[in-house]
Amino acid sequence: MIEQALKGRRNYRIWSLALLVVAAGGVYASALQSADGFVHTGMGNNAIWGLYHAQLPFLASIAAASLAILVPGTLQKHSFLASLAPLAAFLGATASAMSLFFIAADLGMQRRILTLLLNPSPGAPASWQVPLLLLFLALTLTVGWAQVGAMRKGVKPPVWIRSAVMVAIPAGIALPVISAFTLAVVPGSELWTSALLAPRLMASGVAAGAGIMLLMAVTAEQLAGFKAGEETLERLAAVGAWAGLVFLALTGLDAATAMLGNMTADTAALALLYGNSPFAVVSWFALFSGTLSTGLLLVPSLRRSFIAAASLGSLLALSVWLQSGLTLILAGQLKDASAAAGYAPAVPELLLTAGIWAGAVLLMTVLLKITASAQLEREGL
Amino acid sequence: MMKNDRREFIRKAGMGLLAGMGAASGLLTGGGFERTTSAAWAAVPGEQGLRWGMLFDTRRCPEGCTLCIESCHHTHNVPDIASPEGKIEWMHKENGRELLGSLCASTAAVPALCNHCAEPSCARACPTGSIFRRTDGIVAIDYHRCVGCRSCMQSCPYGEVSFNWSDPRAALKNPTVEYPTRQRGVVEKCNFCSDRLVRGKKPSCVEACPEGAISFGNLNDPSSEIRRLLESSETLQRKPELGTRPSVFYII
Repeated sequence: MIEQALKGRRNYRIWSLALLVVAAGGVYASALQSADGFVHTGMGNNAIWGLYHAQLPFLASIAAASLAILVPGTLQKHSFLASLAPLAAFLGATASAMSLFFIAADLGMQRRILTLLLNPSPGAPASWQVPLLLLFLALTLTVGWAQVGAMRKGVKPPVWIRSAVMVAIPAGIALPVISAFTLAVVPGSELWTSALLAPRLMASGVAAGAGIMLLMAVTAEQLAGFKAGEETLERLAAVGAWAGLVFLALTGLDAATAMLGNMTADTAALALLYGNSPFAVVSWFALFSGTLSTGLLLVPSLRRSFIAAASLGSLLALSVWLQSGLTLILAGQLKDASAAAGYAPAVPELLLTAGIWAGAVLLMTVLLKITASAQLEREGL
Repeated sequence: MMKNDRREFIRKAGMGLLAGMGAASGLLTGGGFERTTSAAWAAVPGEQGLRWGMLFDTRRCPEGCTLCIESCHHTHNVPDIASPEGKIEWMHKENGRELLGSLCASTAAVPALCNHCAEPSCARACPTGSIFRRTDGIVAIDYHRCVGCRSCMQSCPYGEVSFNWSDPRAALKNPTVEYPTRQRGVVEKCNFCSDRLVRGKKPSCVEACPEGAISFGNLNDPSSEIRRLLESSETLQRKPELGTRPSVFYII
């Protein structure tokens, strides 16, 4: 199957090459960082975490969201999501692999990375991240690969993948919960110390995950002849819209509790997010684009148009990336308005972040290509 | 729970303020401060023996004097980095009002350092157990296990953990041989001079203070000087409402 990754039309080759170039930029920035440390980043005493850490809650939620498709797609007998199950598995695998890369990029002592596995401190939520991500990566990659293999041969997927998916369920659900708990242990950070953070991350992940899967499925359909089915895509768009609604509602509940209760520390944190911080513009854009895309995805005729659904899904995913990732971390870590002036990512930091994303998109492209080829091959038989 | 504590704290602060106004108008006798309860320094039930603590008598701390800080930073090879974004501090002086809250009547600069909390949130956040509470109450860092994830730095509500954003050795002018230097990529903070205590010496800031404003001793020993001072004076802690139970106290 892997040979399918290497052949393809001209556009596929150009796209892959472009991604490779961006990924190579990331490797260069990573080498720079290994040599000189974080001096090449915008991080400092007023921005303890930066762009790298800001990806983690978002990616954990995406990994968990892949279960929303993978579980019915593999465990139910006649699921309309079955055709998307391998894509969901690969999305989960890619998100966990990215998380691991971003965790590694964010360590001041990268050569001690194994310490995270060898000397875990179980009382600290953060020590569960790497082991769980590794487990989830292994499970989803194996399940996806086995499904595509079965699809190519035109047989039913092996029975053991059901057990693998069942193990993946608690591991995957734990990812956003752990991610929320790593933030909850920071006393006095009111954006983070909310019990709603874990469910908010999960709902946002399902919304963004559905958005990304729509984009992936429609792209694979247009370019590689992959067929997910019209009804399946419409339902996927509906899943995204409903999850988006839940996410917005939870965000609103958090804010309303803070404001109605006049909880000064909480409203001060909200003021930093939406008011007197450099992130306010981004926060408002994210909230607006999230509301708009969710609202439009609720319209049946827009869900039925592949292009509209894929574009709205992507906008929803972008909005979630900004809300559950960037602004959550960057504005959440601010202690007061005077610290808000601080953070602007430096060029090597941007290169490394873009590099990891490009590597992930490349991995996803290759896996999609293999899936689409397997489907075509079976139809050709 | 936290919210409750805060409400309780605000309620008490308000009562303190009223009492203070009463005192000023001659209606009531007694101070405007809430007295630190004995629970703040007494042993955790079941916890016996040593718990090191420190007490600053800020009335004896002269404005502009930084001898304690200089001594601390020299003893422990703390690099002198000017930029606020990269600065590393084991000890520093801050506006008392900002440090201790509105209960502190004075805005004069008072010394601050790691509080060696009985419930340290840094240790709760560390994924590798590199920052941990010793049985003598000192919150210590294993520089050789720290992976540099900065979780402790993020979760310390007092901002007392520093990270080596750049190579600290390059910023050391006159290193001390008795204490190791650190490398780039790990966190560091005050160690309550565990290196000196083990040799029977007092912490370097205590020794360096010409006014004798810093007391150091076992908070669990009722006959220690620090306990005598805690029981005879009104003292403050930094952010007691967070439930971290700091081991550093202030007389204003």
